[in-house]
Amino acid sequence: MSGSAPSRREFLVGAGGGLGAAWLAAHWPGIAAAHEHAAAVADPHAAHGTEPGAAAGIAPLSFFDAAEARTVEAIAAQIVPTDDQPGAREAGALYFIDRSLATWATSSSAAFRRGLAEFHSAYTAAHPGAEFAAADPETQIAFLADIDRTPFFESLRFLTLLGMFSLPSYGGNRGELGWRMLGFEDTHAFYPPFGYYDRDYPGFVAATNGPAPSSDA
Amino acid sequence: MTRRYRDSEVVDFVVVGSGAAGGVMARELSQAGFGVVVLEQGPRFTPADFAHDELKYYFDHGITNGPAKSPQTFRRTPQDVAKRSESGGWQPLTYARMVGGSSNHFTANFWRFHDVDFHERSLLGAIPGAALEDWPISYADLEPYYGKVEWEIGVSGLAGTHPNEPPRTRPYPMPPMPVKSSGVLLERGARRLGLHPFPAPLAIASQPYRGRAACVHCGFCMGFGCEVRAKSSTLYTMIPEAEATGRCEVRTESYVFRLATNARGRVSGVHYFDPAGHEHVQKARAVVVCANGAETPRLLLTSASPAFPDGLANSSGLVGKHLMFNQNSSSFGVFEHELNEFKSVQATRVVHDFYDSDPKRGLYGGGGIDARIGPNPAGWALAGPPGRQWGKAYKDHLRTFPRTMLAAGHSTSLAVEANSVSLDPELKDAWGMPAIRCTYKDHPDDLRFAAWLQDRCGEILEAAGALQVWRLPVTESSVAVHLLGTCRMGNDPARSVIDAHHRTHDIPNLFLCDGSSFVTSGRGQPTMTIQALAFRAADHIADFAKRNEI
Repeated sequence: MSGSAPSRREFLVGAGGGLGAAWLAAHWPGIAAAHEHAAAVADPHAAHGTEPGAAAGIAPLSFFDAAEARTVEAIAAQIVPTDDQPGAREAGALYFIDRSLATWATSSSAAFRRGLAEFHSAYTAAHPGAEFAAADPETQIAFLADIDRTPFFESLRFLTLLGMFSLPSYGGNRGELGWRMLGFEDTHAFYPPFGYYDRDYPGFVAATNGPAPSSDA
Repeated sequence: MTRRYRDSEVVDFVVVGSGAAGGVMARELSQAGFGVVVLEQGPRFTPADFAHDELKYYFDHGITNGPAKSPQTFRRTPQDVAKRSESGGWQPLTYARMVGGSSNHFTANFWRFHDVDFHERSLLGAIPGAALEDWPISYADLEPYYGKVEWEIGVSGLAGTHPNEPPRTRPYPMPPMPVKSSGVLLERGARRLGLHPFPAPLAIASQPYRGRAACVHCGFCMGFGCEVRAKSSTLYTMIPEAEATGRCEVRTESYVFRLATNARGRVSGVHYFDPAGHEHVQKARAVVVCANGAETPRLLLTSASPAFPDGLANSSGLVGKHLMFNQNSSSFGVFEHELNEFKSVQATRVVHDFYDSDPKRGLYGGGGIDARIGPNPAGWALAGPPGRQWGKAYKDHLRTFPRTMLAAGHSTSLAVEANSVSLDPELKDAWGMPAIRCTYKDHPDDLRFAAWLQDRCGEILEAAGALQVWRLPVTESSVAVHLLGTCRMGNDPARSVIDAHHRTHDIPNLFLCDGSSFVTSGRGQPTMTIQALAFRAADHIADFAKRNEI
């Protein structure tokens, strides 16, 4: 880990070559194996703990140590925060990210860890002796707003969102909390009416001669 | 029942590719009495092999040509050095690699071309910076085959519904899909503006059709394979009917990498790798390449030999040139109540009032608008509106998902000679063959018209009562799934690659039929026309074979 805090520019450059969408797609072939592994260890209906440690008993972390996990989860929890509905923390995005970096994404896990270390260094340079995960939300948000264009942050955002909205069997989206927050359902079949506006549709009537009469709502 | 041929047997036809065009070709030629071997790069899936797995299908190249085995490079202009793609992980030229090809994962919008699509050069004159040409065929030539697609493949829709509907001799065989809330709102907004929305024609069974089940509205059409056989992919329609003749063999995971030629300058068969990577030669009287607008020109170029130093059928120098994508532009509308657009098919209403290019706009371009779901959950979250892409306000945006629809514009791409598929000079695929190098820069009118159409999309949403309308900027294309124009059809051998019967000008027993045959791009829904061309080409090719003219 870097002994001295990097300058802003060094931080931005140093976090480059991280986990963009392109990188992820290029390294995805191992996902099927990870999928199997995650399905075996993750119980989508358990693990509603608010601390990484609380859930770790059910799905132990494979890649992050406890401090790294706290930071990653805290950042993810600001990307999709918890309010009256679950956010990234409750959906277990951390576990999706951890599983990814420990299995199919191992070839770039070092780059991710380096980006995380640089994040940590930059944070402690700005807030000596403090830990990002322990900061109040305002401090976290202000710091993230300064670094949200870095490849590290973009990679973490990408993974957080995949972890919230992919099939629960990949390790995130626990109990389909991500989908439920969105208002999305995945079932084999739906039947009309599908939504509010097609409920009382009278049927299609062609208006082929000149402008159609305006239809009232 | 499925016939097996030996490599050494001289079959009547090898068809390269089993997708939208190849499936039709295989079925038509085998039903006409010919022996056919279809060589397909990808595997064969059953309905149970498909899944509602966005991660796999959108980010893992689950059924598409991925960069691990088939990398591609991209550049804007011939002056640039092409680089491996950084465009979100999608290949510049993306297609489904499996039996049925991209007819598995397409959205199934089945618009016929209009008459104007075939003779815009005569109608509008030359367009600076573009190679706009008339087709050597007209809408009237293709009309019976559009009907054939609708009935043989299976298309749902409603005829006689809008003033600029192209003429037709038969109704649709199935009624349109049930309207969705987005369709109702598009219809409402468009009619308030004096436009003429109509039910979307879709290659999806709205009721049981020819032994296939009706759609169950699961919502996973675009980018996914159908789990109930309701989507009319050639995997479920043409291929089984071809095999049922007892004359057609579909050989999977068989990658054709070179066309074989003989001393007379004719094609004698194809070289391919089997699943284990071993090389074979399948002999044939004639070859029909239906490998798509990216792989068809690539195969002609990798087949270069001392007799054909620039690749096969390339005396014009135009193999791979004139690549066209179709432009896209969307406006998002947020409404008061739930639409739940994640249910059922993408589009149930369409507007074609802006189909024709109108010189009064001061630019070339035409298009259609449909109402649709747009992305699945992860794609929705990643795409986000302009502004901060994380935090409380972003989460509030995420929750508009069930109340949001897209009015999506689908529009023209002009043919530009520099836009092309060529062979990368350095990069190789997993089999050691030269990788695809894509060169593409949208004609300025393509971008300007897309932005113009996006404004019309926004107006429709506002007229429909949207609480909020937002959009993403129209940008230059760097990824495409509509792969068009790269072996264009024409009467002049110096200015086209195939003739009006899909025979290459240079080699009498080599035919090409797929998106590469297009002379113009249409308005963004090419598969219907690819399949109509395939039915028509198969008629002619079968006639030539019967008369011993191949």
